[in-house]
Amino acid sequence: MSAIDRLRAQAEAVFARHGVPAPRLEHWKYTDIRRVVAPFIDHASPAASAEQGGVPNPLRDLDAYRVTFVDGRLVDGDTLPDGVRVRSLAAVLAEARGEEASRLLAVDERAPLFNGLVALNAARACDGLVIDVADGVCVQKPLYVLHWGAVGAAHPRHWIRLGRHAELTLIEHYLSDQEQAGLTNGVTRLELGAGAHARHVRLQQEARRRVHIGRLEARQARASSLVSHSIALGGAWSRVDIACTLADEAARCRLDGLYLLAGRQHADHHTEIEHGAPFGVSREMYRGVLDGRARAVFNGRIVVREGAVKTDSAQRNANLLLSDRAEVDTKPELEIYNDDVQCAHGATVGQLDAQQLFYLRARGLSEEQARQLLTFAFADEVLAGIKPPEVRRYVERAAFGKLPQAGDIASMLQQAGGAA
Amino acid sequence: MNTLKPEDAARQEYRAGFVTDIESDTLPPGLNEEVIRHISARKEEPDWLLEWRLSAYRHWLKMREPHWAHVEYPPIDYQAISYYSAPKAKGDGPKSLDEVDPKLLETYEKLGIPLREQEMLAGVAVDAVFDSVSVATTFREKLAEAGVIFCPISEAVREYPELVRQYLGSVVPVQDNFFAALNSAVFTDGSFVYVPKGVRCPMELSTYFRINASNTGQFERTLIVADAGAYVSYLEGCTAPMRDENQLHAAVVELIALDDAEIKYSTVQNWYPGDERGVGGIYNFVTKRADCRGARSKVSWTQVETGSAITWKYPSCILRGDDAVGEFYSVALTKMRQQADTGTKMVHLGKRTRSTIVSKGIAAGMGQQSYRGLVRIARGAEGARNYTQCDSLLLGDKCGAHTFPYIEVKEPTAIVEHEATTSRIGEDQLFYCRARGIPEEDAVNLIVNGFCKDVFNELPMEFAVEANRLMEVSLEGAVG
Amino acid sequence: MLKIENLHVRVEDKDILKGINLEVRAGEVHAIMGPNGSGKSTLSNVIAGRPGYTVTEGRILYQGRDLLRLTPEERVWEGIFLAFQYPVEIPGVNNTYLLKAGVNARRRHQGLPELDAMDFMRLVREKAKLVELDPSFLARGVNEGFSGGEKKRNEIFQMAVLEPTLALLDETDSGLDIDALRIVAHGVNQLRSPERAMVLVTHYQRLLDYIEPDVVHVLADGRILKTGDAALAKELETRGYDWVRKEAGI
Repeated sequence: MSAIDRLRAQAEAVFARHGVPAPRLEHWKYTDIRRVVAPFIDHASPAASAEQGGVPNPLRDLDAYRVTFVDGRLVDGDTLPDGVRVRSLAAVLAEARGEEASRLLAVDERAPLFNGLVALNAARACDGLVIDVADGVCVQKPLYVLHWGAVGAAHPRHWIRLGRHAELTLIEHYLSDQEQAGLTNGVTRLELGAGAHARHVRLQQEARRRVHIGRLEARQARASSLVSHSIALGGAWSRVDIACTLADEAARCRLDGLYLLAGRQHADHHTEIEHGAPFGVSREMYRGVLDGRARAVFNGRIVVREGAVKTDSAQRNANLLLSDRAEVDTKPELEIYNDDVQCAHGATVGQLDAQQLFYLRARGLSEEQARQLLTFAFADEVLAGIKPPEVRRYVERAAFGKLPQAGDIASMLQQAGGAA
Repeated sequence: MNTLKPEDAARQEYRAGFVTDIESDTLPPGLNEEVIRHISARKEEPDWLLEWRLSAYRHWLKMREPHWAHVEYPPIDYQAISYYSAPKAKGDGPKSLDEVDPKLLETYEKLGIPLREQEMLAGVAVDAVFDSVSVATTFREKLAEAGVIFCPISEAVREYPELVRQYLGSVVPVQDNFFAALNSAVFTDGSFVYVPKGVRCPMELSTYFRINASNTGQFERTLIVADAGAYVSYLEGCTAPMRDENQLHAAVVELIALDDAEIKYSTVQNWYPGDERGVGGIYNFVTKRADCRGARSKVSWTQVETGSAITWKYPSCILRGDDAVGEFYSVALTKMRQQADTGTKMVHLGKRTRSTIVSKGIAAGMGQQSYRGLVRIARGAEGARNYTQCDSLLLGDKCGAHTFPYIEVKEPTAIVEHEATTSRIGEDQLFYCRARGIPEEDAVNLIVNGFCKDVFNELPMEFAVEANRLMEVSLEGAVG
Repeated sequence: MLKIENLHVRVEDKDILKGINLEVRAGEVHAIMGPNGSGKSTLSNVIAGRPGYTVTEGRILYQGRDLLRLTPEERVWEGIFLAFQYPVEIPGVNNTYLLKAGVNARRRHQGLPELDAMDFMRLVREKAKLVELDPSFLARGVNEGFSGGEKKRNEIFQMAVLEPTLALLDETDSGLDIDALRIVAHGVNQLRSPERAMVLVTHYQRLLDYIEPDVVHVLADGRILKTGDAALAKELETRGYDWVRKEAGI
């Protein structure tokens, strides 16, 4: 048995022990995906020569390095500039160098928000990106990674390391075939060297019958910074876990997100920020708009360890329910083991502000228009932080296309854009 | 003020830590159906209540002790606890204070609850529960005139069986949770209050709970019913002697408010917290729940929790009636090695129901403090509103403060707001006070009391004063 | 009364005061003026004993004793008062209660009997008039929800109640409109006496139109560069600070 096979078997065993997470686990209390995930657990990944037909090409105006995955396999990619080493996980594993392989496939059951699906990814991942950005290298253009789900299950696994003072923007865009059911179960790991800066955008627009499981794990060294946007628009079920460890002094992270759901969509975000060292700063803002019979879950946990003095942390979660069948469950948690901190969190569930609505109507907007505009403004506070602007505009259009009577909004957007 | 060594300071701080030397009638440790039959027989209970206890016990046997709370303690041996202890009385229970053992009266004097004085002056009716039984209830005639029933629950079972049978377990059913099931099986005493239709209870009612005997659990059961349009304010205070072993306190409190009724329930909990090293102290596992059954009914819980080694307590409101109101005001202080996991549940079922939660947690020394709360807005609870403010103050770098708020909303017309902050005592505030001539320790007290003010304001006057004093005593030596 | 000798102060890793010499006698009013960041507030904070300031060299004598050995509250008991530039809000702590606790702690220290509630209220009402402070403010939390002007007036009111021997007023004029400035100045002038000394720390001449100082110092770059009488303040108003710097050779 090769080293790789052994690691795979270990991961498989861990998965067997944990299984697909069930609601009896605190972190899965509101999200029961066992039934919908079951058909894809033993689904073999499609052959290496995945069909490229039907793969869309969105965000054409974006000047970026592009990489495309189909069903979890790398099919196409641009060359990145000097100082950035990009390899495919498949290629690295084929070389089967023991140490690196075990780093790439290791399963840590003590990791924050760990669950069986994380092990399943390690066991089944057949491809992904292994990126090393050298010290001091600022990658000017964003790296745009399109994940296309054609059929069945995909377990992409990315491992990205930024050297000291390196910079990278990574956009992960998840799209899939509207006619097919399927599962995405991705893991992305970011390691930020001292003073490094990363931006990560997860744009989840999976097909309506698809289950999306995503995990972003970030470990930050001294004075590094991370800005993450997680946008959940698609999929029947989606669950995104973001675990960010501020491992050394003066690291900063900003975790923002938007879930905009309709029909019977279910989206769950769990975030965990661990302040493990002094002078850390974290900011978090998640917003949700729920229509139809949609259900959203937000759980934001902030842990401040002993010794992580001068921690400054603030978290907000706000939700708008547009329909009487929608539901939201939110839990902003603080866990603090040290007295020299400044932490605040808040959560709200409510409606549009009646005074603002009236103000807009007093300026001649119809009630419906006024609602649309305020809903747009509510959600756009999250999107405003997305860079580059082409991605922000794309996300705005995609998000507001989901709102009822999106036409009006589109025209408003256009006018706003024209004026600017 | 700080001349004592830390270990002594801990002892010094707990002023209710003496033991009363009194002969008591105590069952040997252990729990089985025989023990339950014995308790029931001792209380001369009707068959239905014995059956109710036994069914609770059988449920309990199948249940597992919950461990989701953010507290740690060694396993509890339920067979090592005595489930019944009563001060030996001559013949029947006392009819008036004159018949109460003078040693007991003395105990309450030492605790600052002079029963006689309370009877004469304060105009507060008191039910004193000593270990497993109620030893004195004051002011009964005056209350009876107004039609208010205030008596030990064991007596209510005999005198008002219909009322008790109608309401007991209707808010906290026997199988509700592990500790509630245990309580239902073995509860020995507690208070019963019934305020009839349209009656405003003419005075504050209060119960003082005292655990005295060693190796004893206290399992009191309180049932308060406010009939349509009634009002009652109820106070509860708790103390226990200092002992090196842990003692279990698993109470159940049920409140029922019918149309337009209002119940105000205030607690000052100062059970023995254990010492600096975490030896001894009360395990306080309590289930408190109010059913706001009627339209426009209102229940306010106010608690000041400074005692106990472990606190596990979530006074809750089921807001069933339309326009019902639930409130929860809490100050919890953990120091030394105390651990508290406390909060509330507000379940909004009726239309336009409103709830307010104000929680102030203070952690000092190696204390661990958690707020755990649930706000649930059911579909159809149109126009429901909740506002939660949840603040933690940290004194010292070895303590912890945690917040676990669960918010579940299924109603689009509801508005829920949750705000929470955690910080250490403000350096600027501290310096400002000192720059006005106030010594550091007093300045800390001042700021902490200010931090708690929104909660203390909800307490009846006498309790507010006691709460202030209790905070100051509790903070002595806790800051540095 | 106050004698500062060669005072050097460091905050975090920065030297802020680099050798201050200053002597204030009973009955005198000194104004310390200087550009932003010159160390003016540091000086008043060090005198009041705010934590976070390290004296690396020099000493401060107050009534002949080493002031730096005293805790902040002990300095108050000995008669020092700082009117803060940014008075902090302390929610839930009653204004009157704070003062009463302070006054009585000092009285205990002085071996005097504590004031009872009645006497104290009388004192407080009388002093409140001095700065035209609405008595309803007394019942509110310390500075809680006060406007900028109200906070500053509250500081002067507290000074009046505590009757200090040495009062330090840190930028008391900043953020005040003309009416509030006049009220505050009136309060301060009422408290001038042969036994009491005052140090006004200010950026502008404005306050000195109402409170005439005996001595004016220019503090810049952590040193006192020039000392003069009230005329110096007027000159600074018209000519700015740069000429003083040039004169001092900086």
